Amino acid sequence: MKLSHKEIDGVIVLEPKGKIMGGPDATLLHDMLHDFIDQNKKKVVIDLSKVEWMNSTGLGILISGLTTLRNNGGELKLACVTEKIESLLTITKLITVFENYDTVEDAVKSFK
Amino acid sequence: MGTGFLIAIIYLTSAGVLFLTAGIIFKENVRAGNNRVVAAMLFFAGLAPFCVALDKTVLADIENLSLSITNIFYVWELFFPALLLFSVIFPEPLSFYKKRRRLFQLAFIPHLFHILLVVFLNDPDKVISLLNFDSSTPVIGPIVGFLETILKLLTALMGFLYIFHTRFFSLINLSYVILAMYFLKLGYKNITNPALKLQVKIVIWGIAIAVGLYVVSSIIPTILSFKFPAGLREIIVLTALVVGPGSIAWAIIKYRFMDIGLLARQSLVYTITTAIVVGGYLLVITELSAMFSSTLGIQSRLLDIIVVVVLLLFFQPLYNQVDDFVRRIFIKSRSDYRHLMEEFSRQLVTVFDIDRLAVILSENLNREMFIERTHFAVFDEKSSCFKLLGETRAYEIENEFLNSLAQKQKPIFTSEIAELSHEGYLGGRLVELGSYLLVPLMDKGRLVGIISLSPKVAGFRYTYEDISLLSVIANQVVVALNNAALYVKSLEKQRLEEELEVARKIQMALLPRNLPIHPQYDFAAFNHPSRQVGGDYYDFINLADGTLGIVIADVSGKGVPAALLMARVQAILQTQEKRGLPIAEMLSQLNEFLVKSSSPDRYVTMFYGELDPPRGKFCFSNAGHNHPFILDVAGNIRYLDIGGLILGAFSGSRYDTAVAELRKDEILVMYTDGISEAMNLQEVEFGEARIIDAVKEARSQSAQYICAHIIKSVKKYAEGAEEIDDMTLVVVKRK
Repeated sequence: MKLSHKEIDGVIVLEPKGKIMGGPDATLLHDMLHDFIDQNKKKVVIDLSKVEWMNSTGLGILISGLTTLRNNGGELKLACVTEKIESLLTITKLITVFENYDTVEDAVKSFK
Repeated sequence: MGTGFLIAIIYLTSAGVLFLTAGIIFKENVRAGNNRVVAAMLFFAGLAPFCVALDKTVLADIENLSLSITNIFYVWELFFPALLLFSVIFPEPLSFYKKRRRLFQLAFIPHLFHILLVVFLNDPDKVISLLNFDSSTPVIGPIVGFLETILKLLTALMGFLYIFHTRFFSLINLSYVILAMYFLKLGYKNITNPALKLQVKIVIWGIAIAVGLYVVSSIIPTILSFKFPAGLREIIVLTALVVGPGSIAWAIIKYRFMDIGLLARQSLVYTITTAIVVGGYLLVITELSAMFSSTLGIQSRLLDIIVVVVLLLFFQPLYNQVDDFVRRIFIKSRSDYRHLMEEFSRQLVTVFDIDRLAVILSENLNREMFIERTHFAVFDEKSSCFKLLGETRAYEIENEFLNSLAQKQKPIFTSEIAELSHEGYLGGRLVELGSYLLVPLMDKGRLVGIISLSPKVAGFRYTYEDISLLSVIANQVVVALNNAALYVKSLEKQRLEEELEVARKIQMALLPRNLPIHPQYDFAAFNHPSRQVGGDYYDFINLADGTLGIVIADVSGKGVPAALLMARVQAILQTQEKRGLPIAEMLSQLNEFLVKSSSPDRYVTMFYGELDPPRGKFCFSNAGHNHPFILDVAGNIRYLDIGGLILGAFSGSRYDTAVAELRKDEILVMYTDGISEAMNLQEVEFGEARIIDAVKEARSQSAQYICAHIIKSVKKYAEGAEEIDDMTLVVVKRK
């Protein structure tokens, strides 16, 4: 997984690319989120349009990210969820936990 | 004639060895003042046997040789002040010498005066006879006569002095020797390098024995005015000559004393070999011709020539034999560089620890090459920095430093690299540590490490031989570094394998050994852990009210952590047997427990249902697990998706329950994502649809058959592709 990020209207937009799996991916996202929390940036959108696939550990990373942000008074939202990941979210019923939006703009707007 | 010859040859050989050594040492490193002194001492020492040899051979035949010519030979006695000077600078200048350098040079003055005296005033009568001027001239006559008388008196006085002088001067030589021995002992004590200590020990003992013998045979008899029998004296002097130069030659050839190169050592060997062979031959020839002439009574030059020709025929093979012998004694010694290489290679093969490698490297180099300190820097993949072994901190490398090393690819002197003093960087640090020579360790054009060497002890220099040896060693070290890295990898792999084996065992122990048996139902289950061992789990629990709990679950993650989490889940589920909680309540409790006891990125997807066998009622709740389904006789599918969130992720999750009915000939299929997500070579997943198809194909068969058919289909589909996850499948058919 490659992970880049940008900031739109005070909202951090993370753009992971490739497959989200366990191991180094987890620490990468975890450390990045903690950096943002330290900078008091707690509104985060993950743009999943470029994520091909996610295994159970990858899903764990998203859950952990959401928990971390919520525990610090922030929020994690998803944008551009692909069909494959959406079905994964549906099966695990996580679709009820994560707010997800069709576009990054919508997700960013939802924070206002 | 014979022994005289032999003795002359011993004298000449000793002189040869000493002159050659002096020459080599002088030429090897002229800049170092120490070498000049050592060379001077050896030269004067060589002069003594050389003069005696001359005296015994060439000059022996000349009648009425002027005494003053042979007295020039006394120049050799400059050996004593040279020895004194040598003793204070060898192997390292003593501290008090550094301050009073000039003072020690004064040691030569008595000897210069002595030589003047013995060369020009050794025969006062002769000088006096030369002073017989014609004093008959008037006016000037009396003055000349007066002067003549004065000069004659002075000369006579000098002559008188001369008699005492030889005795007195022997005292000076004796005191020089004693002082020199004392200084050498002081210097010896300061040496720490074991190899150098060995060299110096041999040399000091050699000199001490030689000089001691000379003192016994010449100086003491002169002082005390007595004489050894000529034969005994000759033997003592000869022993001194063999021991003194011999010890120096031995130390040079065998222990690389004074850091003499291989070529020079070979020439020393050559000198000794030649002396032995030529001496032996001359002896044999003269003895033979003498024997022939006495027994046969023939006195013919022709015979001599024949003998010489016959012997010359044997010369080459014999020479080779002797050369071989001398070489075996000297050159193939344990401290030869070849030995160092062998020793080094032997040790490196068995070393897989980089720290140990560094220790072996420094020990060997320091000992064999007389290097004061060796440092070893290794590239660290993780930090992309260099680590100096023995230090914890990592250093970045300066670009110009890296370029210099990578371009040269061979040992390079620190002085050849400009700008090395960047603080906190590798080059700067090495300079701080006193680096003098750097040996880059290159692996496929990449710099993987550096051996940093300080200057050698006692100011020895790095020879061409050293540099080429270091290049060879560098290659060996690179191989050893690679071996060490491979070893670490294989260890890690082994550890991982062992861990997976543990996880596999835990998982196997948790899965039920037997399937339930019921007249109305047919049960089948399949579990195949992946190579990495995931956290799949299924179970059947006989509940108190006669219902049958059926569970299928998938713990996120792999290996031992997943297996342990699964074990916890199983333990809690087993209590359900006794407690009989409502399903929703049981799952909520399980969720809370998992939220508390594991990190949020670890979770469990679980489907749990309780089957009431007589009625076929199946009360269930699905906590984020792949939807199980029921295939009815008409071929329709009913999904069992009611439930709630995955377990262990969020606190406060609520679970809904639903009731499904399993009628006659209906098939309930539960699976984990290892089956639905099994991929073919085109990376397309097997998917739910294909599972349903497989079930339909085998619907008329038993649960076992259906189960096996699904697995067969999956395996066929994913043939050749990489197996990613555990596969678990549970099939229940109502008969």
